[in-house]
Amino acid sequence: MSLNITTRGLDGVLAIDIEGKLDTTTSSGALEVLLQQLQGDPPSVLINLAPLEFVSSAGLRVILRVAKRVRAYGGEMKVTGAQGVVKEVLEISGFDSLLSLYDDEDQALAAFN
Amino acid sequence: MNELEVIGSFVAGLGLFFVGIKTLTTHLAELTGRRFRRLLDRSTRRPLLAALGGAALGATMQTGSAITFILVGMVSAGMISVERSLPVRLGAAVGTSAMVFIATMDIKIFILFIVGIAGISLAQIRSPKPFLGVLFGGGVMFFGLDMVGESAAYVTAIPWFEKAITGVNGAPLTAFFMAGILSLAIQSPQSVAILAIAMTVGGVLDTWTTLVIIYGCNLGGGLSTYLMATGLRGTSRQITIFQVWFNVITAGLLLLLFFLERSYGVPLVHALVTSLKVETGQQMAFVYLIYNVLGAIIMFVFRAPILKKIEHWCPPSLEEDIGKLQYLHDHAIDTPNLALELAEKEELRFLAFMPQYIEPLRDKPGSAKLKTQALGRALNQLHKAIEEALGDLGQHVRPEDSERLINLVNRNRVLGSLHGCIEAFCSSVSDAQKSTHLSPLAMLVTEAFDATLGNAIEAAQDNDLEDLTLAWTSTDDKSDKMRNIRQRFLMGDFELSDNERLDLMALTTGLERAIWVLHEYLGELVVADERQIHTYGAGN
Repeated sequence: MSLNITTRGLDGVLAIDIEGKLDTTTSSGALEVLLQQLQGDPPSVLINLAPLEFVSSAGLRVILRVAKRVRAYGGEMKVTGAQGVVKEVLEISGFDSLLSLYDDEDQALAAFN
Repeated sequence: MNELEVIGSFVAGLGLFFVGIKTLTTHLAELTGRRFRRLLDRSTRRPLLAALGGAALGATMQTGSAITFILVGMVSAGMISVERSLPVRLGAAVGTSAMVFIATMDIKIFILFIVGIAGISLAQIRSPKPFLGVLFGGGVMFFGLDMVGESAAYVTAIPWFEKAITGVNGAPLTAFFMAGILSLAIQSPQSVAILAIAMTVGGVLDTWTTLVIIYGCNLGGGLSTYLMATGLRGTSRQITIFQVWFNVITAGLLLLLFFLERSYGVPLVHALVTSLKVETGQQMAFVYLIYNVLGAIIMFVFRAPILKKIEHWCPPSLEEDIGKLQYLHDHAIDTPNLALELAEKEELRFLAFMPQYIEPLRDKPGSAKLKTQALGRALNQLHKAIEEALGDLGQHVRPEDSERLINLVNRNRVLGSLHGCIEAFCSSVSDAQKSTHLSPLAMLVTEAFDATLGNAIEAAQDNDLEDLTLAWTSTDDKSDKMRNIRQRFLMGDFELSDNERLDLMALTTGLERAIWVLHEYLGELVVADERQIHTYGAGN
């Protein structure tokens, strides 16, 4: 298994779990799947990166593109659970300042308006 | 001169020739001021005028191969296009025939003075002008060619060699190929032709054999130019291939006419030259002229389709493709407002090449440096070209556009620094990849920087103030983060070697600097956007 994307409903929030490796090989497919999930313009989206083992530059830009898409239709997106190398790449790249990052789901859910 | 000295002179001559051509090309590139390029641009705009100039050049310099290499140097330096250079080369082919007519002309003394004066000036003057390098390089090149020719002259004086020459009398195909091989070896078709003509006048060779010897030596001359250009790539190589086509087509056609005339008695070249009321030697010199004039006419008429075919075989090299301005051509400077927009497009194009440094880092560890060398040279060339164009624009822009120009100049300066920082960062990644302790960190920072860079490029291309501001924010100071990483590695479970410590330092500070300069560049874009002096965007 290189990448697995699943969704959950959490009190009106669309939670998307990304598991595995989000790299050059998997990123284009992942973007397609993620954009499909946003077709109904869900107002609150939570991206859970806790099960994600690795993210490449292409993967980071997929997450950013999803965030821009949500922002474009007036929704709100939060990212949670980033740890280890994934968290470090987010910090070094400065993407932590472009995304709303939270340590766990409860904090993120509480932060939705 | 004994045989070893002859060979030594020949090899030394070749060595000087190659050093000369390299020096000439390097200094020609430094001479590529926009004003000079425009002058050259004007003088080669009309093909017939360019051909006449080439004929004069050929008659003066007496060496087609040297003219080919001068044109190669000018094309490589971006002074003229291949298309414009071809009429000059064709004219030169005709001009070099003059040597066969006035075989006594000698420029060696002149060359000795040039090499001496230019060489002493280069050594004595603290900041010598590029034209001195051009003179020195050109002089050394001619000197080398002369040494090759001189050593070859000794070969032709050896009795067994003369005997071999007379043996080809009456055997046209053998004579043709022998002349070709000889010309190939001594780099001078004129010398072989003059020798054959002298033998004809002396009654050693008949006029029919001399005819094919002249065809063969010209073909050999073309092939020798091609062989000397084996190291060339891209458009520079196109000129030498054109030269080969010139000779293959002309020699092939004239050889066909020769057999038609010889076998079926159709009055053609031989009949024409022998009907001239001049001495035999001059009649044969006319054959040399006919070869080059006929070839020049054929190639001049069909130069466009032939060049198209050659371009297909030898596409521009990476340096030529990337290193030249794509939008901001010389004529655009005359319309400053448009030129400012085009300069902006050139800068964005420059920026968009930066991720090409990152991609090879994902291949075999340590192999990236070699792969990005050509890219580095090309981008330095492009950066210099943008800088020159902006300098020229400074003399043309209206006062109200000067702020926009200053912003563009600043951005170009920052882009130059960014290029240097990215090169240094990628080099440090390459070094760190060789260490088992540091390679995971090298991969991590590579991915992080690639993401930052990609986001910045996208924001710059889209020219959306909000995205630009966000990208600018994301590239703020990373020194704390980098310090933490360094500490973690230095205090970690494993002990780093001295080299690994240095690599770690280079890697983390390299990334820090690259992101900081990217931050500065994005800051310039934000300023330009806020003041509305940045008009170009993806939607425009």
